[in-house]
Amino acid sequence: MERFVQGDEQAFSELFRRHAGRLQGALRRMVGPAADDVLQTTFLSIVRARGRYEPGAAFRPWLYTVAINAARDHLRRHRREEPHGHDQLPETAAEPTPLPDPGLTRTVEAALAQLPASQREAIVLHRFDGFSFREIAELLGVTETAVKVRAHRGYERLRVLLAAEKEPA
Amino acid sequence: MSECDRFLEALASDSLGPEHQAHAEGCDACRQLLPGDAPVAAPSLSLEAVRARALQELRTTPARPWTRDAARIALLQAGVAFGVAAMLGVKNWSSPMAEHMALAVVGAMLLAVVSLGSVLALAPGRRRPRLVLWLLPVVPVLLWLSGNGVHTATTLRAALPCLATVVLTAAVPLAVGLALLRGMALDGARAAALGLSAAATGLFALHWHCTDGSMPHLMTFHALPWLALAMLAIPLRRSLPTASHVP
Repeated sequence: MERFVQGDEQAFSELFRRHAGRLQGALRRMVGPAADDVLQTTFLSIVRARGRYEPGAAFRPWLYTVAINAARDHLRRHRREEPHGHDQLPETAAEPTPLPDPGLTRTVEAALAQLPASQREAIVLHRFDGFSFREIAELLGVTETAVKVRAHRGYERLRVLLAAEKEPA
Repeated sequence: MSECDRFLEALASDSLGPEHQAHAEGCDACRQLLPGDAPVAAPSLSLEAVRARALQELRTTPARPWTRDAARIALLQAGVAFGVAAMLGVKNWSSPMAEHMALAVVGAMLLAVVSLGSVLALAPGRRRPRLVLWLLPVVPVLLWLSGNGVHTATTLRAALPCLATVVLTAAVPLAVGLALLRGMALDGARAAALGLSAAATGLFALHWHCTDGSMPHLMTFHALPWLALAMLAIPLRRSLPTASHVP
């Protein structure tokens, strides 16, 4: 990370290789088809403001914090421009990237898209990206209890939505 | 409580046991919520485009330590505070409050708010900018301590120049600070912290010259505009585009 801060392109490429794919998946679940735009904004942000990185800090939580900020900014602007944006079910996936069990993935993503953004963030980070509740609390700047409440409510709603998907029409 | 509810409780509290796992594997709804490896997208054209664009940005954008920006804004604010204090002193250098021993101490503390406050407001992370918000109760108390109780600005017309001084003195530091805040994630507390620090430049300048040391005057025409400017910084920052979402 220190080498990247100094402007080392190889160091940046290595960080990108390690984290970009997984982050893209998380962003797809948070903002739907705009994931690539938000991913670009995230990496441009860390390049432009790499002087704000504090030596010794873990890179992955820092990167996710930036991504969440970028996603929130996108959703805020999107809401202002199009009142019924990502809060509705996405019609299509972001792009035809090969994913394991695409049918199941799409079902879960569609259900996730119906959750409020705060619950969606907590679940995506916990369920799909393996952060602990304490780490998520640090990322989001809220208490661990608040994250647990959001996740609990989100999981509850998600289960109902997924169960409804399974029911025959 | 159903099995699904128990599974959900366990999932949300990071305490999944074998019995929850067994239930989830046999339940269509819960199975999809079982933690596991996230499906990682395969390298795609879009990822390569993002990497190429970021590398291009890396080549053209030098690293800018946050401390450099913080030092610049601190120096600017201190310069404006001293400059306006000196300008006001051309006509009126002394004030009735000067009899108070607290004057120098409070002046030094206001200078710390002006300089260190802006550094904390721009510091990375969430915690340090929030420390500045402790000034909300502290500064009015400082102003009250520095006043001598003498009420001289008995009309609105006599008191308004104090309000105008706080607002006008803060204009440039606040504008520069807001421009710097564009380079970091939108954070209302950070914007308010910077606003409190920038608006304290006017408080510092007035501190040496205001001839009214009464508490109603100090609260209404010094502290209130200071607070209002800090609050105004939040919607102003919100209205500006963000160049980087780094905290």
